[in-house]
Amino acid sequence: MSIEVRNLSKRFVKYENNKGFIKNVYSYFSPKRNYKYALRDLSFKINDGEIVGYLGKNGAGKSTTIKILSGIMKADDGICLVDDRTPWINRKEHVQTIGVVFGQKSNLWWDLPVIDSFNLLNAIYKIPKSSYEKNLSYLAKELDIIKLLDQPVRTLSLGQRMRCEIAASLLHSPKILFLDEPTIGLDALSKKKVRAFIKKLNKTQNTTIILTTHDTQDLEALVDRILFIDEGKILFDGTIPELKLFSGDQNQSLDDILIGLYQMSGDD
Amino acid sequence: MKTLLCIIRLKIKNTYQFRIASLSGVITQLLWGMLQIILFKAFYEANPNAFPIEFNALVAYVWFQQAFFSMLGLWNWNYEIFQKIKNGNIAYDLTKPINLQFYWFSMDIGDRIGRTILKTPIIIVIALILPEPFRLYLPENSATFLAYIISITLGTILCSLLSTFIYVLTLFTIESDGLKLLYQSIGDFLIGNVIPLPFFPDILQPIIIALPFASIANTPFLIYSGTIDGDKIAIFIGIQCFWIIAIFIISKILEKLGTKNISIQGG
Amino acid sequence: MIILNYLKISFKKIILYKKSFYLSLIGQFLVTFSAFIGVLFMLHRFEKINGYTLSEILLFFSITLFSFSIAEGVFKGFDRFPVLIKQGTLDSYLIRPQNLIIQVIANNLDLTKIGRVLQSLLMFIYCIFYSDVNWSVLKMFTLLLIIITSCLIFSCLYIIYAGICFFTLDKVEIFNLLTQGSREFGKYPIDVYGDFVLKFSTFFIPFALVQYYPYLYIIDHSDNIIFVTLPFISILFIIPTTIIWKLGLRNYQSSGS
Repeated sequence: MSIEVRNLSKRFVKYENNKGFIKNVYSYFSPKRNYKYALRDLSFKINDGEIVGYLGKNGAGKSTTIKILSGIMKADDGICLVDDRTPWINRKEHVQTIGVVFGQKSNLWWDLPVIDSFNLLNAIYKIPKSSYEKNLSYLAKELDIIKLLDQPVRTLSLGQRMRCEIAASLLHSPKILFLDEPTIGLDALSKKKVRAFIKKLNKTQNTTIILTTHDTQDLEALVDRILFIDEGKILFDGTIPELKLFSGDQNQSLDDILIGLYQMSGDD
Repeated sequence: MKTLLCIIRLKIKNTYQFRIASLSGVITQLLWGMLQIILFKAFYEANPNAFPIEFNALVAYVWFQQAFFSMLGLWNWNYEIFQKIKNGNIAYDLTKPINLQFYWFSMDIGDRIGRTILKTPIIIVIALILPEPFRLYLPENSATFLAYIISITLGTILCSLLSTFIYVLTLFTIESDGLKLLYQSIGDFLIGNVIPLPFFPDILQPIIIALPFASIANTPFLIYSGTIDGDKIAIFIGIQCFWIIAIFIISKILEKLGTKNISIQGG
Repeated sequence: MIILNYLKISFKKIILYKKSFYLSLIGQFLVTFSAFIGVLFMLHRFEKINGYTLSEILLFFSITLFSFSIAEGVFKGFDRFPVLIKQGTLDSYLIRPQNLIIQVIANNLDLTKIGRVLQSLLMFIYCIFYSDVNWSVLKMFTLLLIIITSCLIFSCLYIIYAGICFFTLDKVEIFNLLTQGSREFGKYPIDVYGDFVLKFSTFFIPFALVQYYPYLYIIDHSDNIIFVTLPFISILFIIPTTIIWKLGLRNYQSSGS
């Protein structure tokens, strides 16, 4: 289940709000438009079973990449293949094979007990009965959410909810998992549990994991490789030791290295 | 008073941000008004004698309903107030040197004025230049117009007072949903939004007019068109004033009771 | 089946929020009831409009209200489309391997509209008995056809509204006119609104084809049997609906949220 991205580009029309009403209408119709490039000639390859950290400043193109890889958004130019499939063509087949956890948004039904959401997802993803039961008991045990299953999602704490969200995203045994800020707002113990789970998942199921995070401990604990995106292009692609080499100082902490990268990238 | 003006100014500024949306709303309202007038024309042609007011008066009624849709509406609530009452945070408001009723009233009337400033003049100006039978006619004389201005101001004040009254009632019921629901559905009917009040059966007219809802929109609209004229103007404006004073006093008393409740229970 | 699952979820939500469900139900009832009283008052005063009697108007009203309420309850998600887009809920739907339209419908069923449906159904039954229509099998079939195709047209309007929301979030109030307006002005047969509106409703948005012409046949204002077949033509309205929806979705996927 490899991901291949070649010369991907994505642009958005730039609207300036303070130009005044008439000018806005004019610019809407005029052929010459202002574009902002979210992705510019982006290229990378991710192999089966890798855990990749996808980093970059806010606005660098991270969520755009994730949206394109999940099939929600179309790229303008370039090639994007996930398991030899273009995500936004044949959306339904594609999303059957991926799982997505957006840190801020929820995939669960807010008012209902967790187990109800799981059962509904079971139906939506058409998960075979034996598979569902196996996954459910495995995930419930590993993520320690057995006691939470009967509680409505809105009554859960952030840490509890996040564990349920991760479980929900894995019920249909996806080959690729996109995790967007999975440990944000969690206390230290919860973070440790989530990291341990992700590592184990990757080892046992060979799930490819793409992790977007600002938490350097997440990175150090989990990722094999780091992709650093800046202004729509890959600024760095390699392992953490290579990153330390790249930055010039072997002894710097990952935090400091990243700060350096952020400062180097784009204008602030 | 300065607070009131300040709030009004803020609300107007707020509306200006959504000016494009407002303008598209204008087109919708114009179309809506025209369709209504066509409908009434059909009724008029079926039986002109049964038409309770002059056709011009009806046209004015329809256009003012559209133009003052936001200003005299019963569904624009400040949800923050309801939330604060529900979760008890309203107690914190009492630590400020404000009078709850006055504060709520200002927010409400500021909202109404803010939302009206943009759309209303446009709708009215367009209504004035539309072809027959959609044309809005100017009032007979300046005295009528003056009475209209006074009446619609009183109507707006009454409308805000009624909304404030609902907020005050919520101090006791905590849950606002049922109150709002009843108020909106019954009020909408009695204010003339389903069908204009003059079209209600004749036997019901005295009852309808006596209720406060009629004094919000119906009275000023009919004064404009001269349907209410001469001495009757004084009577109808008198009814408006009566309700303003009555609602003000009742909600004042309830507010005092309600805030005492809060300070005793701590929210 | 997956539909059952979604229905279960919708019912569970009602049970959770029982009070607000019943309040909404009462509210809907009051609103439709006052609309009904309004029509009653008008016809009490005028007796006839455009050649239609009170019973004919009320029957027509109940038919349009019934079909509209069903469409409104089922397609509520499309009415709320701007919210779904803004809150990113639409993206969550796209992540799942299921048809988008089904998800929008199933996740946003508005069961409080059952109140309106029931009320208009009662009104409808009452009007049938109260009316002096000469019923025949063909007429009853026409009536059924009217109801089904009316639901269809209203549903298409909701989908078109959502399709346009893909392009422009804030400026769509004018299209609300089509959904809310068709319920409000659909109280009376369309010829009441004049020639222009009638032509618009025949050739552009086929209200007239599904409601007006067949209805004329039912109440014997016309014995042109072709009128009974017109609702079938209106089914073609699905075509522009699908086009607009697909275009909108494509635009959304290109320009992002």
